Amino acid sequence: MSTKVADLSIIVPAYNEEKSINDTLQSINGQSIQPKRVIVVDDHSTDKTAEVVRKAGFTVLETPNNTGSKAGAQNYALTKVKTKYVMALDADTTMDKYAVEKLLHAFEDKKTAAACGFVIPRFVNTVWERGRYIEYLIAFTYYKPIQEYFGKPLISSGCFSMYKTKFLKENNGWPTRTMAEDMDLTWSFHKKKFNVRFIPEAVCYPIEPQNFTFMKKQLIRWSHGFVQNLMLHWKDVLAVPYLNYIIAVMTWDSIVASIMYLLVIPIFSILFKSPWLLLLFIIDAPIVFIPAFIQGLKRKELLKIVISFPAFFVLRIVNAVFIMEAYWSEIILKKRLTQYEKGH
Amino acid sequence: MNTGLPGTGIGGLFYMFSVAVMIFIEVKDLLLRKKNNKRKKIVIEQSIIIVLLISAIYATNVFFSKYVFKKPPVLLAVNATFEEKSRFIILNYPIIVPLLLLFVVLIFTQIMYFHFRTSNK
Repeated sequence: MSTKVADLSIIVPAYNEEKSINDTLQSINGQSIQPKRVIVVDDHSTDKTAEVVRKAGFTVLETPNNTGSKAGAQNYALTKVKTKYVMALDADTTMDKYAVEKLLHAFEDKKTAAACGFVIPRFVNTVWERGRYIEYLIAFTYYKPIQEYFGKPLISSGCFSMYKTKFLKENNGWPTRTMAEDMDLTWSFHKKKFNVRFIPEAVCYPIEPQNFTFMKKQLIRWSHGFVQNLMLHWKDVLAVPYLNYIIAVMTWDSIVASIMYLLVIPIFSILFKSPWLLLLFIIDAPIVFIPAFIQGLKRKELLKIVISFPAFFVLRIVNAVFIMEAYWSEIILKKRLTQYEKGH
Repeated sequence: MNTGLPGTGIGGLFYMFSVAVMIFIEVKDLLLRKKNNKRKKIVIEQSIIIVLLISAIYATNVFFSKYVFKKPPVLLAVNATFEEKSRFIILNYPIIVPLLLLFVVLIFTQIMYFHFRTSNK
């Protein structure tokens, strides 16, 4: 039986991924439509990543020096890409069998510059993975389809996205000027009036941070990346209808929620000896539960959702700490985060 | 409201309003017999979510007033105690406070949008 081959290159940036990269490569091999080329970029790993990749039958492109970021490694590989489409896939991410095929459909419209899919954590065991699992279910079931309807997905996820090579190269590849290259690139595409699509039927499974050390690194990068993108793009995104609302609401929510959760609620409940106020931490639980519940029904994972649900509230408080730190450092202290530290 | 960011609920409400707009667009196109490329599946799924969300907000309110506080919420009257005021805030927090904030944020964004559009011209 012959497998269809698409005019597509898949770039897999890798830094110390010897444990996870084999699953990623096998999931590429298992796709219903195969890419013309797979480029694994080894960004000067100190483990046996390159050896594992060669054993799996793939060629490795090694960077002359460590590029310092995922975007740097991807850009190094982009110079070798000759295909019409290019995809970025994290070395710890596997895909559903039809993921590539589904994403390719998004490019039937010639103005489509990027397409992303549904993200579900591959392992859901620790409190951090469980919290992230619920976050993803809510975001990809509730927010993202609405953003897709209005043609303004907020981010084409960096772990799993496909691009039209021409548009990506015109943008000089993945930007390295912020800590969140996926957000930076997506907002740049919106600004240029290209289409960005969310295809929920294309599913991928990344490995999420399993402990606080990795979660902390990832949240620092994400929070600072978000604030850096706000500072960089705010005037441009204000001119993009609907996207401007999404970003304004998100910015407000992140600031006010952090102040509420970290200061107002605890201080007021102590000051006025009113423990009832502590209920505000979880008052929206039934509302938050609905999208997760619906996706749980679809995926037959209801028990997993019920068990994981409390972890969402723990992660929300932790998110609040890191986003406040990011606003404080980037805007008040004017201390830009420039060191890309890999979370997972 | 987004992955990696905390939320107070104005994000949730914003998307609820977005769904209302989606339904309006679909009904308008249906009446005008205009074919659009929008995805009806999204509208149907999101409408179901919204109905369930509104039910959840209502159920939360009923649950707290009947079984937790065991009396109707006291309005923010001048002579109400702080505890009574807290109960009111807790009961209405998911609706009234975020709703007001949402309108403020959206109006501010729209003003900024017009401001920059005018200054760019």
